[in-house]
Amino acid sequence: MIPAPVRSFEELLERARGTIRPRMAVAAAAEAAVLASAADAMKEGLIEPILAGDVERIQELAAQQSLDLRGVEMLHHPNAVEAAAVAVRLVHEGRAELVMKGLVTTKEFIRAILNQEFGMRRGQPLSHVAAIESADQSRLMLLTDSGINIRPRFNRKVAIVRNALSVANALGIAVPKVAVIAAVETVELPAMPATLDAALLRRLGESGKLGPCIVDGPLSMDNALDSHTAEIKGRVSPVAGHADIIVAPDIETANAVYKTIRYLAQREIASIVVGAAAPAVVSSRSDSARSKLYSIALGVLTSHRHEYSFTPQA
Amino acid sequence: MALGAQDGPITGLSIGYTIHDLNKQYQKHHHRERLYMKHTLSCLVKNQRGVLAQVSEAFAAKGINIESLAVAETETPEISRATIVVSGDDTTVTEAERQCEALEVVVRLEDLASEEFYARELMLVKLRVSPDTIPVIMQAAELSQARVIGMSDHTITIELSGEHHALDGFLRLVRPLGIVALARSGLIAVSVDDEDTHGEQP
Repeated sequence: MIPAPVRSFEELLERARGTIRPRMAVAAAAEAAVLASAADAMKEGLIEPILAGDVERIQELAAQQSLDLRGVEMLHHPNAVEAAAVAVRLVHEGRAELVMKGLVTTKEFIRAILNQEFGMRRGQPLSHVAAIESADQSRLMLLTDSGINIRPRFNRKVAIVRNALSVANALGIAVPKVAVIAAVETVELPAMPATLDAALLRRLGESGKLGPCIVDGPLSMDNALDSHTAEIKGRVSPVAGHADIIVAPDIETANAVYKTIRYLAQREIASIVVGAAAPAVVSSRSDSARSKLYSIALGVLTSHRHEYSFTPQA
Repeated sequence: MALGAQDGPITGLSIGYTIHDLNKQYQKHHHRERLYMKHTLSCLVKNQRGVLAQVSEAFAAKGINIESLAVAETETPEISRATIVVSGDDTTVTEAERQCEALEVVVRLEDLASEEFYARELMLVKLRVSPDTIPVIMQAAELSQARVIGMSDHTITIELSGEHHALDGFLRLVRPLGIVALARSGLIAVSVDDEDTHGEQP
């Protein structure tokens, strides 16, 4: 059964606190901000950290920041790539339910996740999902994919939508409304192939192939976000103005939206990478401590819903 | 943190066909096609009325069926290039070629079968579409580097250009899904040689 939707980041924290605490493996944990956020999340009762990295350096950084890491399991692997491998192997072996990137490049971290032997791959594409509070702060919305898939083709977009739906379900949104974004509202070929993908995704959504959700597209961003605008423009859709998931046509669009929200609107964003056996928190060093905490909380909730609630039709 | 997209199979979709199933059909038909001997002829003709009828007649007289014929102006408006694909044994085709070359309207004829040449064909195919077949059609289009140029409630129209066998391969992939309409331009070809056949002016 899906609980009531999470409406804000504070509710996200509260909901995550109320779950069984997952073990979060931190890859190359010897980084001040990452260490602080892991300690913070532990203090908040969200997770049980397992720190893989240079233990001496971890302890030094903990002392400098007065972090209480008593009782925390630490695995000494000074090499960052090795530490990333160890962290994902913990998930592979069932000893962790969540991973977080530390002082290792995103490329190496994702490479470890996708490792055939000890990684977290489960045969489907990874994608990046960001959560933001809606303008009226009445609900959380998701944006995808601003970090992994560069120029996804149609079938990859199907996987991206499915990944985002799993996160929406974890947030308590039983029937997510999905807006597949384009610059215009009609299929324009060959000039705008994203409009075709959007229309086909809508068809799949209507047929039930994507599970319980309402998909509309192509939808322009204003119509997706603002029901008043949609009304003025005569765009009648249950998704218009009520989108739970914004699916961008490519990484440039999603990334620009993400950073506009973060830096121009000065809003907090939580983000995770999903599609693997466990969610991964891949925060940026420039993210605020609060944003990192929200990302971990999002990972916590998602880690309790590895599988989609929907079983595809036979 | 942008990374290259990791490739993986389409999973979780309940669809009636897979690329694997469709490939099996392709293999079945591939063997049969190899039994035919094709000749690709590049024929420069004077751009005037009745030329095509004369050229066609030269092949028909030898009982040779023209499989495809594509004609358009060259860079010299008075000359058109006809790319003709015929099947048949070498002797009969050679005889037909000689008969064709003897026509006053034919500037030059080259059998490209024995030479290296660049050959392409354009195809438009309209497919029946349903939620079951959307992922397969789109994957087939992606694999073949085809382009969707239109869609309606019930059909999707795809444009594909390439070598003849590539177009055939794509058709075999999508044929079980339901072809509503198909149009092929016929093969067009030019020799890889630096010297083309435009030397002779009418």
